[in-house]
Parts: sequence; C-alpha cells; structure tokens
Amino acid sequence: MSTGSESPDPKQGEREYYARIGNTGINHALGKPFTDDKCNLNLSNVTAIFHLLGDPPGRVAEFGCGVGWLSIMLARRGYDTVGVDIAPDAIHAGLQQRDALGLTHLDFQLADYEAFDGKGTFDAIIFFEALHHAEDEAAAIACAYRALQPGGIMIAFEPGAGHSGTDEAQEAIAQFGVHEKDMPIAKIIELGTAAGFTKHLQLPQPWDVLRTVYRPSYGSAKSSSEATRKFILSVFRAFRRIFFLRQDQSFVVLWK
Amino acid sequence: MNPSDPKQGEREYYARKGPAGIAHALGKPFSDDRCKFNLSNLAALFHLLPDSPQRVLHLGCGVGWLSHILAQQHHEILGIDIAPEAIAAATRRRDEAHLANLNYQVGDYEGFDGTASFDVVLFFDALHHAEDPAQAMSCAYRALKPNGVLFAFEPGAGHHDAPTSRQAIKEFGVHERDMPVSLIFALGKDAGFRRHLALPHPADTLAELYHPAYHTATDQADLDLKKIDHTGQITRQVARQDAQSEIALLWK
Repeated sequence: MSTGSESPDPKQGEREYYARIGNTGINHALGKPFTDDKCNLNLSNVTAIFHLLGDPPGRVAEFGCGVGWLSIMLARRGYDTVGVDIAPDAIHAGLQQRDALGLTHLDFQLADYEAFDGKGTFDAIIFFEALHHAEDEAAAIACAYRALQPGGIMIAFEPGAGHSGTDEAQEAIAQFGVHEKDMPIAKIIELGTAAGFTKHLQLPQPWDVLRTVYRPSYGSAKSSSEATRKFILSVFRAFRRIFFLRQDQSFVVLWK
Repeated sequence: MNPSDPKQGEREYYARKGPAGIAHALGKPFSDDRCKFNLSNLAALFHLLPDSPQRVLHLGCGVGWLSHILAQQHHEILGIDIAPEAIAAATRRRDEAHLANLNYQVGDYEGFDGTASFDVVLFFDALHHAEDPAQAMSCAYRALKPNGVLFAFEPGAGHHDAPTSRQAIKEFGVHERDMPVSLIFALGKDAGFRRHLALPHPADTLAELYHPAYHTATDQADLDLKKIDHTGQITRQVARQDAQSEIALLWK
C-alpha cells in the first residue's frame, strides 16, 4: 500500500487509518480516555469542554471524531451531538457503540470535515486532536465557521510547534500515511479570523494546571506541614501557568 | 429512621430508587447535573494516583461508576457497598466489560476487614453517609499498607441542611452528614493516620478559568477584560481558602 505522499488521494492515510489499526486498535480507541496512557491529559482537557459548553441542551459537532469516544461522552451528557470523520471504519465502530449504548441524540456522519455542510445549525464545533491531521486546515476552519450559529464557538485542542517532528508523528506518517502538522494557536486564530470568527481566547489546558497541583509526590512529605508547603509551591506553579500561557500547553476558543 | 436497623436507609437505597435510578447512577458522571464537578474531581484523582497500577479499596462505591473507570485505567479495585442492588448492578456491568481487575462485595464499610493490603482507600461522596464515621475511618486505616493513602471527596459544612439532603433523609432514611476536612482529619488522627493534606476542589477553579460569561463578551477587548477578571477570581478563591469544599488526603 502506498503512503500518503505518493498517493493520488492525499487523504488516503486518514481514510484508511482505522482499517489499518484493526479491531484491537479500534477497541482501544473506544475505551478512551480511560484505557489510554494519555488518560490524565485527555480526561482533564475534556473537562474544559464541558465547562465551556454550558449546560445542555445544545447542538455540538466534533470534527475528526475518530471512533467517537468524546462524541459519546457529549451525547451521554445530553448534548445533541454529531461526530464527523473521514474514516469509514471509525464511523462504523462509533455507530455500533452508539446503538449498544442506546444513545438517541448522537449521529455519526462519514464526511470530510474540509467539506462538511453544517448549515449554521451548531452551537459548538470541537476539534480534539484532529485539525492537525487536515490536508487543508483553512478549509476545515471555514467549514466549522459555516456550521455554527451566530454566537457559536469553535474549540480546538491541538499540538503546536514541533509536533510534526516528534518520533510519534514521524512514525504515524511512515506507517499510515496520515498528515501530522504543527498546529500552533496563532495559526488557528489567523485562519479563524480570515474565515470570519470575531473573537478568540487562548486558555491554559486544564491538564497543565491540574498536574501541577494534584501530584502523587505529596506522599513523600515527612509531615503534614511539609505536605502543605509542597502544596503552596504547587499553587504558585499553577498560577504561573495560568498567567503566563505556554503556547504548547494552551488551547483556543473562537466565537462566530 | 428505623431504630432497630439504623443503616436500613443505606441498605435499601438502590432498591427504592428502582431500575431508572440505578441506570442513572451507572451513567455517571455524564448522566448527572454535577457532571462538570465530578469530572473535575475525577481528573484530580487521576493526577493524584501514581502511574503504576495501585490496589484500591473503594468504600461506599454504589453502582461502581467510579470503580469501573479506575479499573479501565489498569488499577486493581475492590468496591464495597452496603446496598445489594447496587453491587448486583455493578457486577453485571463489570461482567459485560470483562474487567478482571475489578471486584465487588456487599458489605458494611464500618466493619470491613482489609488487613493492610491496599495502596489506596477511596471515599467519593460516601463517608458522609456513615452511621459511625470514626469506625469507617478505622477500617480504612487498617486496610491500608504502611504509607498507604486515603482520599476523601466529601461535602463539607452545610450539606446536612441542604434541601436535597433533607429530601433524601425524608424519602430514603439515609444519613446525610456534614463531612468537612477538619472532621475527617480529627477522625483520621484518632484512627492512627500520621499525615494529612487538604486540597481545593478543582471544579471551582476550572469554572472560573472556563467561564460561561466569556460567551456574552461584546467584542475582543471586552473578552480580554473578562478573562482578566475571572482569572483574578482564582487568586481570590485561593486566598479565601474556602474550607467548605476540599479534598482530604491522609497517609498511614
């Protein structure tokens, strides 16, 4: 099988990704975030999404949802959710899981998020580790904009500068022919503004804040007062992360 | 409350909630209005646990929504609850998911004999339902290995008098105590715990960081101002040390 770079279909890697990782890979993906090494990261970060969405009801689409573990969480919470992915095997697995759970407010659509027609009906569009796999990220962000109602938000959790050069990314490119781009927040804001978004906020990833304060290492303190001192130092570290945002530990929200 | 069996309310709670109530409890944290709060606490708990698989005793686990999640993340879990219907529902779900590292027992956590075999004991919204919290803390202490840690995520002052608690006491005859960290620490000290630490509930901080008021900003400048305001609120939160809502950690 050819890799993406040699292929006449530049999206073939993304399209075939789940077929190539097979049933074991798909089952692993369905159990996320709890089955995964990155559980703490993903679990913490989805917490921000639940805070930002406000209480249900609401209409949410996840672009590049994969097998839909996050879309399923959103639907279970009560949001009217649509998961969009280009890989047929992922959408198939998502639909099976939806039916097994008996979720009625959840739909999965096999589509290219660079051409998805959301008809201005959504309150929120979420990219969770997905936009950096785009062939044309400007088209994807323009689709997100068009899918939103006035006042709707786009939330993007993406890896920033340096991602495409990591061993993990290089391995995925070599093995599956997928796109692995750097997707820094400045670039998302720039493309978003060009697409028509009127406001944007860069915010710290909850993962980065929580991991400084909630640490297993308090157990090594020799007394209660030493544990408290360690905690106070942690709070200062957390504040530094909140007030001096690091590009690679942030995410972005854009308003239509 | 039945004087001959003061724990009858807890024992029969899930039987009286019925299938719909049990299904709702199984769907937590997502099925619940407290989703944001519980998810945030769950994230804090996951960060506090060491990366290596831990042997966890979950006391008052109910239908096991949290035990199940911890077992999915490779920890070895024993969940204990006094309500047979809760343990039956938890066990069914465990079997459907084929989780070999998850066990459940019907039992009274005030009389559980764990004999120093657990790395972690967890109370998550559970200790405040105890008939005798001192007894429950002693059992937790005995179940822990030396240097083992107890986590308690419990409601603090004012819980007993909250309308939802009043309703639960009236309807189900359950116990709904105030369980502030100061009380947990005092009981823990008596039970033999050597060190303790109180940590804030992350939900309050996250609620400021990702505030719904951002949606009402009129333009970019207004949005930037709102962000400064709500980020500043976090500083005030920490300075106030709101002792109503804290996570208690105690080490054996």
